[in-house]
Amino acid sequence: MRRHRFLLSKFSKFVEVQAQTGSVSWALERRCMVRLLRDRRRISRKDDLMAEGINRDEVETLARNGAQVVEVLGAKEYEHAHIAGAINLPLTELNRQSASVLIRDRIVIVYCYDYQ
Amino acid sequence: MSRRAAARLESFGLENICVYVAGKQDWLAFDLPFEGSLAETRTAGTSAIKDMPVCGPLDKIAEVRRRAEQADWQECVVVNETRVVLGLLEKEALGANDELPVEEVMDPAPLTLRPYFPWKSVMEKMHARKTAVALVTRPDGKLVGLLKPSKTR
Repeated sequence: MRRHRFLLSKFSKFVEVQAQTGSVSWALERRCMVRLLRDRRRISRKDDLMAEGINRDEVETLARNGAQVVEVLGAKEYEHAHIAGAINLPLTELNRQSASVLIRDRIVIVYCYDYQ
Repeated sequence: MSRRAAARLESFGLENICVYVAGKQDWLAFDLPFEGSLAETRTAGTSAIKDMPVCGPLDKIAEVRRRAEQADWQECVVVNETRVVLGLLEKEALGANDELPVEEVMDPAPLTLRPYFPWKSVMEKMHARKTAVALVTRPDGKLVGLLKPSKTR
């Protein structure tokens, strides 16, 4: 887990520096994110974990850099309140067709109400 | 539920999936940007007064009272150096002996709510506790603001 945090902080710093120098490009950011995520996933696999669990700060960082945020609760709960910018793909309606709205080479952050 | 959704998305061939395990409740409790009908209604977070006076647990009552009066307040929130709430001083406590440290007279367990609480629920809880003042904090204990319906704009 410490290694995960290190990778994310490294990525955040990279984007920050690039943005400050004005040399950031979306394609570069995306490549960097995907690579980092793959690294993290590779580490996770060793620990027999599934998709990477991330925290609030990581959601903010990744969403700011183009990740797709997906609420999987029902439409009514989504309409009541959802993370700014999130889209709604209810678990009950999740299938290949509904998931096709997601851009494949961008990070997807999935969330529901809490630790359920 | 989010884990199941992530596993399904992976089964559809998507590779870059993360799960925000603490979810929406955590996001809302930390007073982060959200959309939806709740964002258009009055909540504890939107009604909390954020410029109320604060003090430390070892500050002397005389000094805290002076600062509160200058800011036209009869309350002062007691926080530590990282703004984690330790207690609340109300009018009666602010009238205590000048030399006493705040921690000896503060209320260490004032009514405390999360930012996403709808206003109706806020009023119900305040009524049930028979209090005119409540605090709004994040799950890490940090102060968001103070609720005082008689003073809230």
